[in-house]
Amino acid sequence: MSRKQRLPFKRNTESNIQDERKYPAITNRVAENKATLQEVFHNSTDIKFREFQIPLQNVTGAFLCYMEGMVSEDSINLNIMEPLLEASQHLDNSSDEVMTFIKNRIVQISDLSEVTTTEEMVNGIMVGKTAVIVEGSNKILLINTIRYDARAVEEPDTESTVRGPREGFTEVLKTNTSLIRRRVKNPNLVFEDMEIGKLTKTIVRIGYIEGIAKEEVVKEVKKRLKSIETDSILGSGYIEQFIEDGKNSPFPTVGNSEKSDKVAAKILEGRVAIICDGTPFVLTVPFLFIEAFQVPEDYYSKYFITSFIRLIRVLALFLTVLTPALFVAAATFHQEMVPTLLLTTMAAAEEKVPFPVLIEALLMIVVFQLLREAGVRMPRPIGSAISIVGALVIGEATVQAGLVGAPMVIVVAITAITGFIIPVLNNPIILVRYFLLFLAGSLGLYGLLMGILVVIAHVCSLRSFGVPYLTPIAPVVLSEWRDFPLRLPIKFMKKKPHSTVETNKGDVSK
Amino acid sequence: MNKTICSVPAKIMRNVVLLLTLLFLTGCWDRQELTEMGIVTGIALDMNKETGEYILTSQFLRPASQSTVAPTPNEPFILISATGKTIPELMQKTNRNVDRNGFYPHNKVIIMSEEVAKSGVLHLFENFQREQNIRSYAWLAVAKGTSARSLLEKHKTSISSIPASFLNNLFMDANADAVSSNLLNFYKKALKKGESPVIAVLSIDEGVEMTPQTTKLSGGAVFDGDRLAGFLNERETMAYNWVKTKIRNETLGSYDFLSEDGSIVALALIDKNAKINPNVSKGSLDSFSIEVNLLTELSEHQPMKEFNENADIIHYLDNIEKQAEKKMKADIRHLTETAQKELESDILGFGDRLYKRYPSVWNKVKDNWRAHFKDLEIEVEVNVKIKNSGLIKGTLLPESM
Repeated sequence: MSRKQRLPFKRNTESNIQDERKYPAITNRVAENKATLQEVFHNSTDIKFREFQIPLQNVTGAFLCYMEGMVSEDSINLNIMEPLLEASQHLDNSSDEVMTFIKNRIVQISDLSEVTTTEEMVNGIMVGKTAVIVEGSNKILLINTIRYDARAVEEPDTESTVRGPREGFTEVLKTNTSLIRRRVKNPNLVFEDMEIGKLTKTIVRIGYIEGIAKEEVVKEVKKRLKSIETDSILGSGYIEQFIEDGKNSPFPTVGNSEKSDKVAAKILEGRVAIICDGTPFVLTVPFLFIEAFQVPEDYYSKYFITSFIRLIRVLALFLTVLTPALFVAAATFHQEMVPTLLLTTMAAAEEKVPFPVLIEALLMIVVFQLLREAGVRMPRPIGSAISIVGALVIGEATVQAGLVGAPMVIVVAITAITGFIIPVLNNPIILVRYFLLFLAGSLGLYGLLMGILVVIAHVCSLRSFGVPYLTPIAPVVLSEWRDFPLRLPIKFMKKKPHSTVETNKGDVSK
Repeated sequence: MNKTICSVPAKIMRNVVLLLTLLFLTGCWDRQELTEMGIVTGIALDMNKETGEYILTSQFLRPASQSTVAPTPNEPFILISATGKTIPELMQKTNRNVDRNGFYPHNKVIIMSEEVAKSGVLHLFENFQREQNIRSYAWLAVAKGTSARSLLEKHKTSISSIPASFLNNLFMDANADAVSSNLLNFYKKALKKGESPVIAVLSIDEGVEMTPQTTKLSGGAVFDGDRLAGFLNERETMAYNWVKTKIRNETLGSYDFLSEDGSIVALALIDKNAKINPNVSKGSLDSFSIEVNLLTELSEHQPMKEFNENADIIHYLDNIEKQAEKKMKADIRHLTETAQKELESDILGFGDRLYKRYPSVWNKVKDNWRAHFKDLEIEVEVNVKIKNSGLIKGTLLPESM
């Protein structure tokens, strides 16, 4: 009974919004149509009406309707108003209906359409189109005058590179699409739109290369997107949570990036990009575990260093997850494993500390987490002040105050620094770290090993849009090891990874 | 509205609680904090001559004085002694005398006095194997001419502040004139029929004028089974090492001898390879042959002459090789005679070789191997090769006026 109840946010999706089907139909009376619009928009102040008369055979009443801030007013003035008011000059062939005449002869804008329902009209106005309503016509002209203020294309803060393209996505869907299209000039690159969110009506666009992306993945993406039922989509993070596979797993199974070159590369590897209007983060699926270790710069620089750095990243993952747990296990259960000299200095450091090692480790890791959170949420100038306090707190001071031993500071420092190396896996890293720390503190290395097995089993069980999460490690796909853990020279990288690429059809890149 | 407060289904909640119980109620059974344990780095076994009880001396570390931040001025170690009959009893009594629990896996050396060694030791070490609290890699030594406890005191010539690590380094850098053996080697040989263990000997040199009191690792202590039978001197130990010990520390030390013309030659031993072969004919043991091949470098000679031709040098080196072979052969022969006649211990492992090569022959003789061993015929062959003479032409000579 109550067990079957769904999560609470689903219940709130029932909204008291006026049903769209109840909109009054469009009539051929200007005044009635205007009244309808005013009612639909509840006399909102950013809806602008401009009434005027068209000097045709018999002077006709008409009005424009648009949403302030979403349109280019210059364009309306020059390309719509001015020609309309001087319409009489064109008055040589008046056999056409007024609307057709305006459309064919007067308006100087390429993208326009005729609509006949209030719903279409309202939706058009909301995205920044201008509606032209003329007395005596059941049709309404929707002219594309969309223009709104947007951030310029900048280098993203989250993924900065030393070498390589710096263009990052913006909040504007059109710009983002063009950034990808500019990199992949191929007619097989397809974009498809859909609208998600009952209230926000966010446009979500998927992009893939027909013939490279696996058909079933594309179908699955569309199916999952269509099945999203929600009021609002305010960022690609919402979509990610709706469509991801492991909803109860901390491991990400949907990738995201702010860098256009990275997304282009993913699309070329047969992945599907999901661009959400209003967010600079573009999602890519399927997302594999190894992608967390791959950075665009890896492909722009020589393979020696890249391969080495890849290995360092793998090492960093293990260090950041295991260091505190290993230290606690060694210091409380397996003292015989520690070299004698190190054990002596560890014991010397612990001599004046009142807490068990596990409590010490927890204390330091939680303090670090707090400092980090404080630093991230604060504006820049205050953030630096916090890091100074933090350096003092987890540095000398705690040791001198006798709260923790000096080796613990090193352990936390290693954990913290290596934690920043793989930002993609940030969430699972933190959770797994605590999980293993508790196990190591209560059962020693035995517990730690059990914990690691549980985590590995969990990660192995994950899939991202049908592709096993740990490909090519498990299942082993040796041919894809050219890109993990090492990055082989570029001559070996010509082929596309075949766990994400459509293999039934010929490779269109040839 | 009660239903909506707890949205997690009761079944899941129950399982979570059960799992947490597993983690929190069971406790951490062998958890030991660093501040609760006393790290023991060396132990010494003496014997109370009157009562026959053992005295165990453990060297505990004082970590605080080893601190890298603010070391305390105390001595970095303390010695705790306890008297008792068995090792577990001794260890418990030790814990009573000190404010920490003894933690033995980091123990580096086990030293026993001559009395303890003579009375047999395997029954003492049995506890180490049963409880696995002392590693088999701990060095094992007999204290010669001094009590075992005195060797755990601070040494005058020690650079490291902890006596155990001083001793540890002595063992690691042991030269050809000393045996350095660990507990595991001792077990292996003492538990075998065809070989007697030889272990390290630590002694204190009282010293004269220039050389102050020093602690010395040299010679070897020969055991018969698990009882001390006697000692090898440095020359004998060197011969023992040529035949038995695997090469360690790059060099096996240096060997010097008086050559025919009365000058002293010093050879650095750089590699060796030795074989012991039983000679069996018609199912009965005839003799044993020892073959030792030594690779050396000429490190010093004072013959006072210069060579003008390469042939001279070759001839000269050949000559030295021959002389060295003769001397070494004599040394090894002396060692085997000592072992056979004086110590009556099969330290070179002839019995073991025989068992491995001719098990059936061994089975015939193993029951009175001791008697057989005394009268064994042993042939010794030594081959010395000088690989390098330091690239100087002849020797260094003062230019005569």
